[in-house]
Amino acid sequence: MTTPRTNKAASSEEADAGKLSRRDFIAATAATGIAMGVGEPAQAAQGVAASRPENALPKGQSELYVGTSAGAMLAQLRAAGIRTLFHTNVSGNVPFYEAIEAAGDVQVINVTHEGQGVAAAAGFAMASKGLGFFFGGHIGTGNALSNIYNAWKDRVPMLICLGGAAEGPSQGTDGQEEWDNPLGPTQAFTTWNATLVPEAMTALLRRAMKFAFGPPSGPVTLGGGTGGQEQVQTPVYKIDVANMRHKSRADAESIQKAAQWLIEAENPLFVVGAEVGVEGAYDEMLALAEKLSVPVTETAHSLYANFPNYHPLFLGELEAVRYPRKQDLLISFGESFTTTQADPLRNVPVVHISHDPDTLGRPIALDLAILSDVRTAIRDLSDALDGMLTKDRMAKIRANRLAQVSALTAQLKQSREIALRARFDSSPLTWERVGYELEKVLDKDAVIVPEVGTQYYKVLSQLTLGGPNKQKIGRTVGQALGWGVAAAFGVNVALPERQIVALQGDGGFLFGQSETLWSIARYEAPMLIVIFNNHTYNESRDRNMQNGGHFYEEGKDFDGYLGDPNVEYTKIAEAYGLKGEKVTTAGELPAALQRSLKSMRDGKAVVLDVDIAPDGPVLSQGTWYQRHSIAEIRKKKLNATA
Amino acid sequence: MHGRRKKVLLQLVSGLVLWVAAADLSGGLAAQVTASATNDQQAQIEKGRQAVGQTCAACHAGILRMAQAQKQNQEQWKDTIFSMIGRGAEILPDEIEPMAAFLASTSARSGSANAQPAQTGGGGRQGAGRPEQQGPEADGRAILQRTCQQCHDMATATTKLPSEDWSAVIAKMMAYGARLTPADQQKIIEYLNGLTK
Repeated sequence: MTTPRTNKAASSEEADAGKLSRRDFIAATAATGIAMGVGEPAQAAQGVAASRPENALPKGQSELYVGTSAGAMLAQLRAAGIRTLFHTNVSGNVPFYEAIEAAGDVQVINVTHEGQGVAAAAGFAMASKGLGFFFGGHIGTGNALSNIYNAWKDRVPMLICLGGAAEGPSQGTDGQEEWDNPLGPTQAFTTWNATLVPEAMTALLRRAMKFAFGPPSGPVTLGGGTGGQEQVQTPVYKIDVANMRHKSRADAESIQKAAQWLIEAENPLFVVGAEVGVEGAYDEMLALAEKLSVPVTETAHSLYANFPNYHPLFLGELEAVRYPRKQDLLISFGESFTTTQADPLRNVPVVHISHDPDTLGRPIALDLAILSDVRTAIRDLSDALDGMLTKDRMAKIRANRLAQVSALTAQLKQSREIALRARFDSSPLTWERVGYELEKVLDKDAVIVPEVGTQYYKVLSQLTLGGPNKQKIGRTVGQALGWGVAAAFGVNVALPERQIVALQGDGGFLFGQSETLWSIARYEAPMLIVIFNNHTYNESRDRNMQNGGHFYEEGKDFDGYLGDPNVEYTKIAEAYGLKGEKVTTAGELPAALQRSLKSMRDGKAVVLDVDIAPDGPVLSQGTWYQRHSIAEIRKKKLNATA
Repeated sequence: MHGRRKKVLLQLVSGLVLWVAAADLSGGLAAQVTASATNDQQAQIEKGRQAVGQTCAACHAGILRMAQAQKQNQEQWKDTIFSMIGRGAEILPDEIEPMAAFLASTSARSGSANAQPAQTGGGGRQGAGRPEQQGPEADGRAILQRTCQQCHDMATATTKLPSEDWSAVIAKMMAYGARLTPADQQKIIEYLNGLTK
């Protein structure tokens, strides 16, 4: 931003000062190739040859496509740089397939369930910071819905085509596989819906991409499209998805006010949210926190590793923060607070910086709302601080605060070490021990995709996340189970050079995720899937029972215990041709991980089923369930005479 | 002979005196040690109470009720604290033991500790505890949750200085604007007195 501002100021000042004649000024600007709307006249005036110098203007004019409407759809997707299409089987896509084959540079990734397909496309979009694309049949809308919801909560830009519903005269007949308003069920979880029509195929897709990127960004559902054989003649729009999201920058007054408050606050606190990850503003965030040694937190459901979790300024979760006891300013950088209890923020002035106007002031009352790209706001805030503080004062603030925060974070690290070592050799294993062993063997830049309950922090705090180290995508903010393995697979499709590790609770895996193992096997995604198998829906059981009561004391729980039947996840993996390994004691884990890594190096995914100790109040760890045996109660024995 | 008997008698008496003195001394020492241990234990529990108020209550507004309901002993609470550290609770190394001591003391006040989980599939441990509290105690707790917890977390709302009595604390809160009928004040005071006996 600095360079054009400086050039413009210099040019106009010099011109105003009369140091250059207008003729000279025009000649100078034309020679630099800076396009100011006067380049061509200047060239003409100078008698410059027709060859025009390179400039920054967008190059493309829309091209004209002639062919089937399904081909037009593919042409528009390709013009936006989309080359990976996630898909679940449905009939009626032949024109689209023919266009894909003719294009030669588009990959279809089959997933055997619409919900898993949408989650995979979402994982792909989050990892690639691009646009996710899924296409399947409208009859799979119900299957897709829970992960459309998750993608919406995660603000993932994606297009979900659920074509094939009745259009035109047959609408409303309650015919086979028909219902009224086919996209209606998705409307609560999408930023836009439309039915693609041949004559406006590319225009509608362009518009769909606009709504997918927002802000607010999120999934768009589309009807029609992929089956179209109609001949069309339509423009194809060149789209740079990296620039699709509307950019914004705060006014100087708001930035100045925030900077002034930050200087005056004795105990400020930063909260870093998903927008830091979406914009990739990691370095800027770190530099700003270090500038005044402001402690940094995240909320309990942070989607990305937005700040290095090993940094002395990182305090962990906002909800658990003890220091500073008397916070007097909280600045959110792209954290929407939609999953945060309001209590931690009570009576603390809040500044919320977001590129999404929809979230500003929505869950909590704000003292200052700043609509801006987070990266730009961080830079502007940093510049404002530089202008308002002397270097000496800045150094003094920084040193005092750093000493206090570092002392605390060092003690908290020591506590975590005590907790780790206290149960280090326990079998079944602790969550912490698994995290500890993973940290020892995983690549520095591995990508972690968790879908585990509230115990997740026990694993993640053992891993070095953020900065140049491991990255994290998930757990989905939506928290609808049945997301993790598919999302991790999508991440692997986007990032084939990285080590991808799904951290998956056993209960979440049983929400229909074995289907994705089929895709992992077919596309030879060399992932590691660690199943934290505590034979329990531990999160909900813990919440249900932490306040005691009759059921707690009786050790009863109607829906929490999963150990009967005791699922052999390794055999599920083997059924799909993947490697499965069971770990029941702490001592077995290091060698099992080494074998897993070897398998991954050889190109084959591993399902590592690790016995984990249940957690929570001691009486809540029982194995009771309401028993019901059809075999026992039946009176008629089938085939009794056989 | 007389002299020898006298000498033996003197030895016996002096031995008895020494024994009594020693017994008295050791008894005093024991008492002092016990008193000292009790004081240390109380100090430990007090430190734990403060740490629980600062850490657990941030997410568990009803931490004292939870502690009472869960009926865990000190070792079990320590395990819970390790678990919570793993989950991100900001507990310092020297607070672990005091917090476990405080939570165990709170559990013990409500009844059994050393609880064991039910382990039988399809069965479950029978008759281990009591049903949810009913009557005046439950009323007092409900009023406390309805009114005091508008401004205080549960740990703070159920804690007072040793020199205070709950009537004075409630009077002070009324002066700050708490809205309680005289009947509700009485119920809440009875409930709080019950907690801190």
